[in-house]
Amino acid sequence: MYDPQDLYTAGRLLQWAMRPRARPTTDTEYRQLLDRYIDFLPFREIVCTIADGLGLQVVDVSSLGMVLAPAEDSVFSMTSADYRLSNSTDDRLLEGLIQLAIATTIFPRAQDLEEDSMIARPAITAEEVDATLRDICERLEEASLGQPDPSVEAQAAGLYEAWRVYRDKASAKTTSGARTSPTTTTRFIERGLEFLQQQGCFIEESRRQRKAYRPTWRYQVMVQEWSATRIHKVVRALLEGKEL
Amino acid sequence: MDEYTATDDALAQVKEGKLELGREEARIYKQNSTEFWNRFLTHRLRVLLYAEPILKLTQRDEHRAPEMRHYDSLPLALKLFDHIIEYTGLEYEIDNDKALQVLLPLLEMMDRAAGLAPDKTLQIQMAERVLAVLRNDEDGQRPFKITYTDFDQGRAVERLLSVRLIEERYHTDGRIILRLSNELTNLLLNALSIDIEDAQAAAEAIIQSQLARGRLHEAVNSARLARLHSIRLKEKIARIVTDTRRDLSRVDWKQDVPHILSESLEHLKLRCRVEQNIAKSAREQRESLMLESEEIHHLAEIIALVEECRRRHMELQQLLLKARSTFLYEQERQAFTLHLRTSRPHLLSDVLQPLLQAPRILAESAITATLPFCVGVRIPRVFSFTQYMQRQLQPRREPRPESIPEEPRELVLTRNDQPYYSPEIAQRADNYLRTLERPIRLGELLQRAIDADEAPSAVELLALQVLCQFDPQEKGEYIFTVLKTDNEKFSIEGLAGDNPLLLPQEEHDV
Repeated sequence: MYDPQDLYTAGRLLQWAMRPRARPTTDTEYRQLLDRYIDFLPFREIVCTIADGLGLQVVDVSSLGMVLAPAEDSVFSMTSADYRLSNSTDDRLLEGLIQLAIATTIFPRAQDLEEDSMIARPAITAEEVDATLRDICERLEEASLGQPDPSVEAQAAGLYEAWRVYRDKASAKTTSGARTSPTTTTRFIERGLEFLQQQGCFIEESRRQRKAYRPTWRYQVMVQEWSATRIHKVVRALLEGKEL
Repeated sequence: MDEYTATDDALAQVKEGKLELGREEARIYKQNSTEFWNRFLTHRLRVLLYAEPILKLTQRDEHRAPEMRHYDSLPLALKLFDHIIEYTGLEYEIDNDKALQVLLPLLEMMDRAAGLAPDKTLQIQMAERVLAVLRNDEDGQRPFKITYTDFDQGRAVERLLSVRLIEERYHTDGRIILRLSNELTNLLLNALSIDIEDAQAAAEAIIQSQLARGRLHEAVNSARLARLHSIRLKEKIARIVTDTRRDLSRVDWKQDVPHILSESLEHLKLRCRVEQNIAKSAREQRESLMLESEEIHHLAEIIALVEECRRRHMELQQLLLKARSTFLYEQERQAFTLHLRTSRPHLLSDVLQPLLQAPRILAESAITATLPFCVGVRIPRVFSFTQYMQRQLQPRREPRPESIPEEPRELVLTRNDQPYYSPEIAQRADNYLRTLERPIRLGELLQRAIDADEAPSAVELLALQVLCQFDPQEKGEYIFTVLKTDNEKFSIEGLAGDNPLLLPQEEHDV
């Protein structure tokens, strides 16, 4: 029989873990609950059981906090509709590619995903994420030289390659009053990074007078321990024509 | 346009005996369908179509407002292309404002030719319009989409060509600059069908030929284009080296890169020799001309341009020679991680690249499925009717600025400097300096303070105040003078240096 007090504190810990800006260093209750989770196995079991029931998975716990991930079809799982920052189908495709490119820019090699998540990865800029995508697009465009252009039918059926969508979107645009154009890929990337910042995954910093974003421990753990392998599995299955 | 299979239908009818053909016609129909249309025709068609958005500028001129109808967009566009080519890869690349400035003199000449007074506002408007059309601002700076008919395996297929003319890019200094697309550059260089190396060779052959024929104006232009090719070639190789430094596994060092490098190295060796010959030939021609001749300027320009090409090639040659050692160094540096067996995916080559390569429709499905993994937990919000009603029923708070009395503030002069030494310490050090009665060495004064059990920071401050008094720029309010009379040194409790003499003012005056 579980102690009602333990059940209550387990719920409190999960609530703290869901707050993007909560820090154990500044929130005493959060820190104490994390200590209890680390030190007492029975309490850990209670927390994991409740999380499981809610459709959440405890990915990692340290003195820096608790990282949760949503199970499939969980009420806590983000859908494309929740993330949608624009209405155009082209832009939605770009938003998804940009999120993958952000993770790729932070972890450019498979070995980087193996590294200790306590080691802070370097900050990135929107231009660096754009370069990651543009480099691939340029390589694919070079490889496609000499091939026939996509037919109008293929265009209508969405059978042309995805890189063409990214290539066709400008990365920079001059606007009146030196404002940033909202329709460039660079601005899209900034919006993606700002969204992740609200999720507690990045913090903003300045690098040589340019806005840079440093991944938090929460984001590093999320990608290293949870997202990367799952994303790879989904992409491989889709490309091999398997049902998800 | 729908696809059709004229050849197949005809062949079927011939086979069924419904269609009787002459010998020649039958031969044509029995031929492989590719003989009706070959890929070189498609290639030429595409080259022609790249010019379409530029030629459409003339059509737009007819629909402009009457006061702007005398402007001709086509020469403006060509001037702009030429100017961008000239500055590409250099420190001062053309940005939006510079591009407009370049066009203004031409627009003014068009005003005058039409018998109109030059109107700068109209000129700027026109220049902006030309630039906007070339960038395809109407469609969010996306490429122009042009449909054309191609023939593939005996069928007509309608295809879509993406044409970009001018694109805006970030310069290394953060500015947004204008660049010509590769397609347009190639179109302007008349070299669309060949690769960079061949285009470079052709451009230099043209220069030599033009020099031989004395066509110097053309030679200047060709030399400019040759320089542009050099820049592009350098960018291509630099990217391979950068990729190697970032991640060795992103570059195929087994087959592709060694082939590219050795081929480029051979090419560069040849180019350096050719460029040297061009410069030599131009110099010889220059020496045979009169000093005041206009051609001398063109020759000087050609020599400078070709020399710059040569310099860029030499730099590239260095880059190529270092490339292999970069590879070996990076192989050693990245060796541990390279051989580490990992179960984790390579996000770049296992996820991002296959997705970009995949048909868009498939990539969209993958994005929908993978996005939840990228952005973490979503916290569902629960609607509370009670809270909602409480919020709605709250009395509205009107701003009442007059309800808070605003007292006039008294400004006080203050300093933001935080003193390193506390006022107490400063006071202790100050006492020693204000009570000097006889000439005394610094070392002796410090020793006196140490003997009186003063804090180390007070002793340190005492030494600093004496040093300040020694500096004619920093003299304080004390009435003593610091003199360095000899080379005597002191060393007490971590403080050491020259041991100057401190003279009370009266003593010194005497």
